[in-house]
Amino acid sequence: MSTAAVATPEPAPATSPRAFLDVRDLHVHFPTEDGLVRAVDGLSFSVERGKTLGIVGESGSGKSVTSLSILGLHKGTRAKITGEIWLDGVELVGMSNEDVRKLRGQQMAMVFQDPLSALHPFYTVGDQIIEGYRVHNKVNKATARKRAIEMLERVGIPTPNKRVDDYPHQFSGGMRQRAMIALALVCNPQLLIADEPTTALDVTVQAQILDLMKDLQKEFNSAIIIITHDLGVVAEVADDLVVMYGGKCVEDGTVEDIFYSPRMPYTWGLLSSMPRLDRLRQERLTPIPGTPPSLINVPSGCAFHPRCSYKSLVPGETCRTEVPQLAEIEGGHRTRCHLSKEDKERIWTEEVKPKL
Amino acid sequence: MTTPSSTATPEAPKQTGDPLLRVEGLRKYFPIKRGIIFQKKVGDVKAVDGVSFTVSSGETLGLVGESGCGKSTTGRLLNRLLEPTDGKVFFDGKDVSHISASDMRPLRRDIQMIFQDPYSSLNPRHNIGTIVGAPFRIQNIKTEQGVKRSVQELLERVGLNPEHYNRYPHEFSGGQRQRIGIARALALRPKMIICDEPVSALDVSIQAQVINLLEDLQNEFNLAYIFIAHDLSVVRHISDRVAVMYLGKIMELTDRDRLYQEPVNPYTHSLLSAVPVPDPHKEGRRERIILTGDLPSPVNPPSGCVFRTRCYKAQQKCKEEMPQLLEVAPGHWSACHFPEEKQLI
Amino acid sequence: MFRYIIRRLIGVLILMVVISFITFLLFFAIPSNPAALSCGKGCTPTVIKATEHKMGIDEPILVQYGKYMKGLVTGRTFGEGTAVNKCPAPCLGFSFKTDQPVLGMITDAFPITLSISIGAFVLWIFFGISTGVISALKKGTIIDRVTMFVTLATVSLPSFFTGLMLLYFIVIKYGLMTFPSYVGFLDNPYDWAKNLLLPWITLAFLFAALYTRLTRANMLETMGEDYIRTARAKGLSERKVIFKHGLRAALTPIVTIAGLDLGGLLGGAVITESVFNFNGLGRLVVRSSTDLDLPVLVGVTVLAAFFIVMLNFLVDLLYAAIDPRVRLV
Repeated sequence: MSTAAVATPEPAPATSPRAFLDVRDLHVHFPTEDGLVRAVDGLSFSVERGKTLGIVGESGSGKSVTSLSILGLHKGTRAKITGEIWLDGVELVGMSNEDVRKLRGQQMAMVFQDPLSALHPFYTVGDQIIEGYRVHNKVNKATARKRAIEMLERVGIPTPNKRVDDYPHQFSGGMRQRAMIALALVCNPQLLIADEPTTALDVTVQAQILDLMKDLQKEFNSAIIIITHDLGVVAEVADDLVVMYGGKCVEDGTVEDIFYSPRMPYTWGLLSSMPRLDRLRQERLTPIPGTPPSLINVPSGCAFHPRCSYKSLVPGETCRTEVPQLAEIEGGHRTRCHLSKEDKERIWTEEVKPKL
Repeated sequence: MTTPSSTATPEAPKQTGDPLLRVEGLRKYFPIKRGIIFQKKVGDVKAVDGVSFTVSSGETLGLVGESGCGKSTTGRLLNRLLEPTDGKVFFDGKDVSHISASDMRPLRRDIQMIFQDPYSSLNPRHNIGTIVGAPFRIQNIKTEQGVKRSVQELLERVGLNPEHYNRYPHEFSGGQRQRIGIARALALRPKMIICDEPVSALDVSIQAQVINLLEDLQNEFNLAYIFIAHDLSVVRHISDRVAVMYLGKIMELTDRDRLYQEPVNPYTHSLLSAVPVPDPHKEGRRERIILTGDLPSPVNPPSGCVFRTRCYKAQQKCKEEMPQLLEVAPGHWSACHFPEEKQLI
Repeated sequence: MFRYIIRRLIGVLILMVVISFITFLLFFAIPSNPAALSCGKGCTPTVIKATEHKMGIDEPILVQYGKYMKGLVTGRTFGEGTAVNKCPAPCLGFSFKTDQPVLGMITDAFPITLSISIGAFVLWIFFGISTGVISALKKGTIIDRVTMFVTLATVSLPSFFTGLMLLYFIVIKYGLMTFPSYVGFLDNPYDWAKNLLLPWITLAFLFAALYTRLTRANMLETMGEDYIRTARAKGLSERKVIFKHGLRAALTPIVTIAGLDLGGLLGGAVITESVFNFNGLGRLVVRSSTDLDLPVLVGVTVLAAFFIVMLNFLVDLLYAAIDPRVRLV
């Protein structure tokens, strides 16, 4: 088990050696007029430096809320956050807003999905990077500008000393995302969170950006969390995976574990519902029936049970009444499912895998 | 048909009979104008630049390419949401390239469209009975059982509860809204449906449901689909033949298996090699052609081959001479001076 | 850029011509005769005829209009023989009612309107935007709810009511001020401001409420944008996020509306001027329309239109300066 994301047993002893980023039993709840939105409901994971963690899930699974709460961007809002987030030995949930602000951009940075709307339309790309650098570094404008040009060059923008004065709308989609990455990395953060960084991009540009992220990771030895719905993307860049459903982690482990021996019906569903270029064309896709749950009205018991085809294998009404624990299969690979270990193995090898 | 000829229209194998739709040299130039009082034309955005293909009844033609390649514009030209600048469109043997708005009416029954965004393509103030029943009212068609019964049958057919007739779009999920859009397109029993990115706004698990529905409906009603999408995996799954577009031109067009297993055009190679596959082991071993630079401007496309500025095989000839879309093998068309078979998946 | 400005200015000119012509046409569509109105008791058809001739309204509209336009450029001479009235360019003619040169009447009235409008503008922009921002940032709190309620109430108060209430309480009942009467800025800036204070408050009251609501709505929308999230993710202080990133974007649409509102007021703040008995352009236009005083009416209308069109043009220039995505071609 040479994995980066060492699975944390849920009641962790406070003295245990901590990973670079260690999220423990994170809950993010938003009170709304329609009811309490349990966007994240007891999530734990960890990432080491130089490693990439992929968080996979459909819309409304809570994956983006997770990233925003690590950055402390829910502080000062109505969101109720409990649990622990340890970054390099420092706990963030209990920290003051002002202290977390000093870490944002400096120790941890974020790349967003749509670079056109994520960059301010009224300021030049250079000014936005310079601003990000000068918040955390006491340097004059000229030095910061040199740094901005250096970063633009590093992320592969041609003639960076000219493009630094361009506005975001003068960049192409791919270049904007490169600029966004330059902005995120300008202070050498050790943690980079990328929320659907390539979803708005074309496939050839996506390949360029993923390549760039891998290169930069080697160079800066940073920890990366990549949030996406695209299993192809995580297969390419991630070392470890967390599969989220209804605000909870339903399966986690190494990329190997999840792609070659998944043990959870939702993960099976994801893998078999997508058409794949690397397999022979199937006559018919196997969709997951039903729709993702509303986070206000998460189904009782296992949140996936209304859509699960294997719940009849679990005796009684357990799936409906009892929330399954995230239990270890072996060596850090964990699933949240009531099926017996034998059933999980048998269904995967006999029923699901042959059909992929 | 096997002799390369620059004017021929790439078409399906003969045995499928006369094509339902034949497109020849279709062009759409959007003029760029300057001036407030007196406008003069200073150039053109060549959105679609000489596209030819055919589609037979019951067949699905996939149109793939990156944003700005002209695939959506092509779709809009076919059902005349846009007026073509040049070229011919034959539907059911009739030249419909420049017919008037009143002659369009019967054509609109035969060619329907499904859009990407199920949130914005449905009027939020109408209930779904009104939305799905609109085609009947607009075309002034009385059905045997009455419009309401017909609409309910349609709703049932696309997997929605017919009792939800009086509900409004916001009460449905993304996948259900796309089903509403499909029901509306299906109402007048069209011969062809143009699907413009119909599943790209949907979650993976829902995507599969909608794709399966589209396939079932095709079998049931012998529909022809033009399936416009950027997702190469989805296009492979649903299409019989696939056309790859770049900067307003078709780069390669052939049947699905050939295109994905033995593509010959370098642009197709780059596209296929860029798609990440959900298999970490294979992912590590795959050859990847990373394109450099950005898409050139469609106002001023490169001379010769439009792809040459980013092509890994480009040579002097590519700069001087525009490659024609030629038949390199029966039913396999490609526009490239230096075609090469390559296995990328 | 230069060519753009030239083109816009030509456009402004053309519009002025069109507006003055339409005013001419409308005037003649009115069924009463200004000559008959001005000749009073004991009027005979011959006197009316003579007055018509003196006013120049016995000629066809197109001829009258042509003479008017020519007078604008080269000056004009009215009357014949001994009663010659010279009117140097730019000639707007003489008032039917008072025989005063129209240009002089306008230049007398305009400083008053300008003073009222500019002062009120500054007040409402300052209070409207600041309360709007505070209300947006404190959304849902007591401050926000009270602000929204007060602005709603204010918007529904007509300005003659506000003006009369101010006069009643401040001047008449408690005698905190004497009844305002206009004093030129150059004569005595302190008295100028003191006398204009009540008109300013009256006019700004309504607009400030509108601008508060507008700013609040824009600010709320902007603060939800992705680039605000990016600014926060960079580690910027909340102050910088709000003022440098949020407010700048939120204010852009307000620039447009503020320009048009100011342009509209410069053509005359009719009600406020009437309530406080200030002889600005607004009162001038009211008086001249009841008197069917064509030359004054045309003059003020064209001037008012000029302000609106010019401010619109300035707003476009300003907009291009604020938002780099806007290109002037």
